[in-house]
Amino acid sequence: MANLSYEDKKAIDRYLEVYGGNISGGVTTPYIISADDQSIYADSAKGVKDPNGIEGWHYTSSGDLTEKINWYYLNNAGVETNQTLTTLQGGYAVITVYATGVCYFNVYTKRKNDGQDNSWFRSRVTYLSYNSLDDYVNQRILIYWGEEPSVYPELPRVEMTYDPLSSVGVQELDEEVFLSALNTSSNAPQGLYSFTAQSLGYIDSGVYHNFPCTAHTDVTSLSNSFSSLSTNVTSLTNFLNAVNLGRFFRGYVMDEAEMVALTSPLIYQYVVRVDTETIWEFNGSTWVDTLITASLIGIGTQDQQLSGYSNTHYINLDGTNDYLDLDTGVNANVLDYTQSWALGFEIESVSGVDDSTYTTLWKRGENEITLRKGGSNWGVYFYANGNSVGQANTWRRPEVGSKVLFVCNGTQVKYYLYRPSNGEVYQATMTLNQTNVTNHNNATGNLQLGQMGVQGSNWFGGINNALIMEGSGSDLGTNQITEYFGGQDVTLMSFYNDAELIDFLPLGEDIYPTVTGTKGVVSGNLINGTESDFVAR
Amino acid sequence: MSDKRFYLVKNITSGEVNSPQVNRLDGIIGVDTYSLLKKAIDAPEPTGEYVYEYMITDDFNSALSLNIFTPVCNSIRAYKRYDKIFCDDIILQFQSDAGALSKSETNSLLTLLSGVLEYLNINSPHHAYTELQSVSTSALFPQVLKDKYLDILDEYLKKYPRI
Repeated sequence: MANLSYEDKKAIDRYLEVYGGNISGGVTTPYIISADDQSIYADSAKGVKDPNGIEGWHYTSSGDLTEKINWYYLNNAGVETNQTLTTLQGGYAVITVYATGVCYFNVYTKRKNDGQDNSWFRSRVTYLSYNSLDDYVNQRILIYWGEEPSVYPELPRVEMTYDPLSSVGVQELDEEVFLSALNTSSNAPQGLYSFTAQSLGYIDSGVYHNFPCTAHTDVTSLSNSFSSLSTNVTSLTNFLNAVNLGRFFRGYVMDEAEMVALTSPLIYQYVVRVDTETIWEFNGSTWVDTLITASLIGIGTQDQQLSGYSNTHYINLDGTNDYLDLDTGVNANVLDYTQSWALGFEIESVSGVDDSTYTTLWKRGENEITLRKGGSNWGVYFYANGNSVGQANTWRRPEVGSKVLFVCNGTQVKYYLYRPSNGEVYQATMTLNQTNVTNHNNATGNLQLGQMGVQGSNWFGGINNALIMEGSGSDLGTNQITEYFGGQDVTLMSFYNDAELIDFLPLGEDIYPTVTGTKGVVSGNLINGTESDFVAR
Repeated sequence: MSDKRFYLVKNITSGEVNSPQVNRLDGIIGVDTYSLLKKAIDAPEPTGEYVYEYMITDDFNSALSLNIFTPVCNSIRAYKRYDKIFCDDIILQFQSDAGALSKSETNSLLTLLSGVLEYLNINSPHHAYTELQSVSTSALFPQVLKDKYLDILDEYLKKYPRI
């Protein structure tokens, strides 16, 4: 104890006050031993938590006849000592007794290799008193062999006496002590043994070696928490990397002055304002309050809304003069009837008016794709400056939850219509009127969705999840058509990363009036609308 | 279907401008400004010399197709279909009011209102309105009747103003 600090001594005294009782001088090694220490329990049963919450190593025989305990709490394996059967004056254990089966002590000595050794040891000295625990069930007692310990004076004493029948070997007094253990026997019926060891100790050359016992702490939940924390840290690191790679988050600012002072903000970049505690996004000309709460979750939400698919919104076109104008990133061949392309979107709601007029869905230049509102038969018409280049009676009308896809391969145009009411994916294939294509094809300018054309009026209803493809791969195969109409999130579809898929626009997820594709290629705006047109589900 | 309200305001005084909450389109006739507004359903109503709210989007679309709001149009302007229906109804109203007159009285009335009827027949309510203002009243066409038709035309033209 001389080398211990005052604080160490206080801590030890406090511990011994709780667990060790009134121990006089000469006590050493007052460290705690864990039930999970395999050097102690070796190949026998481990101690577990006490069912009544008592600190220590609990053991109840399970009925497995091969099971026993050999808790080697004195272990001189691999070291040379002067500890002999003479110097080892005794051993003890503080146990709470739950059953009458008597645990006992064994002391093993090291081999001398003189022909008188037994097995891996030279002698085994056993201390055991049969039926000695009968009167102590549900009591805490001190069992011991040899010299009666002076520690734990408040506890009843039960002495384990030398058992000549179980002891083996010559047991000479100069034999060096190898191991000493608290033991039970195998072949024990279920519940014969049941106790909790709270402290193990021995006395050597007048010095007490006392080892408070503690059951192993289950750290599974802690490990899980650490694992979760690790995952979060990884996610945060990934996000930081994304930020460093130039994505949208511009960091924290105290107020508007700091926000507007940021140099060269790019559209969609955003900041966290400390004064408003919300996220502000730059829309290309000014900073707009997204009203998203400033938090890591908020940042994640904002980043996901900008770059990913969430399908939390759609856009409602009022049928007057509002439409989507995609002014960035749409390949010039799209909606040109001499090229290959595909255009699709989902219908969140649709006009109930059936007046035989035309309504335009996609439009570019003087080319437009229209549906003629004819009751239960909404025919599809592909127009070039008011001249039909392909048309078909569908005998079907789109409905809430429908999805449409228009495909052109330069010689044909195709119309796919999914209707949730019957699960049908209707297809019409039309050969292009090449005369009208030659004379009237005009796909200049911005691609527009819902804008009136030469023939049709503005689309009236909700639109969502627009798909834009260009190139020969746009004429999707059967499996891809099934895949497209079988789900909503195109980013998860097999052809999402194909070069032909220019972009996928989850409409309404951006800040009004902006629409942005998940690939970051196509973007545009809702024209002549109001923010209420960005409808949250 | 749309969570918006649609207005026409003459010489707006409430000061709405284009914003995420408001979509405004102006047309000019002489010194007067006519504004088509889309506003959120719970937003305050605009104010001006007069305010008319379109209850269906087809009515708003018809106004939108007026030359003052849509100078260039490749197809038939929607408001002309409205004009046609309106003018037919005015004529029917006139025929209803004059149905009990004798042939000679009818001839006299047709002569008196020939200019008005001519414009109604070509679906031009604004010209019919102007023409009617200059018609002299008589026993066959008293002031009260003239005012009745002027009011009907005026009410319509407030919704669909013309140059």
